[in-house]
Amino acid sequence: MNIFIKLLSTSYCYRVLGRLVIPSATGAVVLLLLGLWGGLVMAPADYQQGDGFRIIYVHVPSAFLSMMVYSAMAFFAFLALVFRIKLANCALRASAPIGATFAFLALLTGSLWGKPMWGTWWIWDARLTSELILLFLYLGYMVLDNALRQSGRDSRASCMLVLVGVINIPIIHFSVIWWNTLHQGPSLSAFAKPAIVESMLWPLLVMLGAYICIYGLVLVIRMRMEILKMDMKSAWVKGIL
Amino acid sequence: MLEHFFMMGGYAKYIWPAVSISLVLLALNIWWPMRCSKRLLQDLAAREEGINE
Repeated sequence: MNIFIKLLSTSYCYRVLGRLVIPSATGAVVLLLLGLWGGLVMAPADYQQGDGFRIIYVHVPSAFLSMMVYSAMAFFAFLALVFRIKLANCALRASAPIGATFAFLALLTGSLWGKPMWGTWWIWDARLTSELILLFLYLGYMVLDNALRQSGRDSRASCMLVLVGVINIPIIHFSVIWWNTLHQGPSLSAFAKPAIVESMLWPLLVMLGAYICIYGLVLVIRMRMEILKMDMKSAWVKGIL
Repeated sequence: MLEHFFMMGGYAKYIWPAVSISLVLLALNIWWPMRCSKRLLQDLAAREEGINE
């Protein structure tokens, strides 16, 4: 319990986050190199898509992280709204830009995969459209939060936007099951046996790990910056300068 | 052998842009806040120095 109380202190949290920079950066670089080597060199070509399937190693981690980061943001928004935890607001603001990047990359790499496989860059398919809405939710949150900060108001409205928007996450996930879409069904499931052969699966899991480390690294760097901005007049900040 | 790898079975024009744009955008997402943090610390230090003088 003591550690949780300590973590609510901005100075303690700033120091703890500082200790996470090197491990998360190391993890990101090592896993990214291993995942790319596994995915682009070691994995065999797909029997239907040939080497074109290798886009999966950047597409699936981006899409997964775009949903994971938004879910984390909804949790932070809940903490900020209900318990008025200032650090939850910092984590929320820190997560949005990298989450938006993941959503953008999921759409872009999906488009680059769709052209040779489906014959089109874009289609108003349920999965693609709901992912595009996710990108707009990220951008909407960033614009609204920025406007609220500049006008000196608190961030309740932007937290509400994040909480309302979380309904889109199960829609994205189940869109390929609920509707007849051009997008393929899920290749990975928490409960079922993976639909991918092991030699293709391990680089994908490594790339997922790399992207999670990248999110952790960006979250840590941005949260430290938000904490400094929030507490810039306090004695502990003056102490570290 | 190397040429075969870069050709990616005829899908090079889709795979390499997907990989390179992903890496560049992720690197920018790490580099930009690091630069901003460094600047913020420098600004705060300069402001503190100004107050002390």
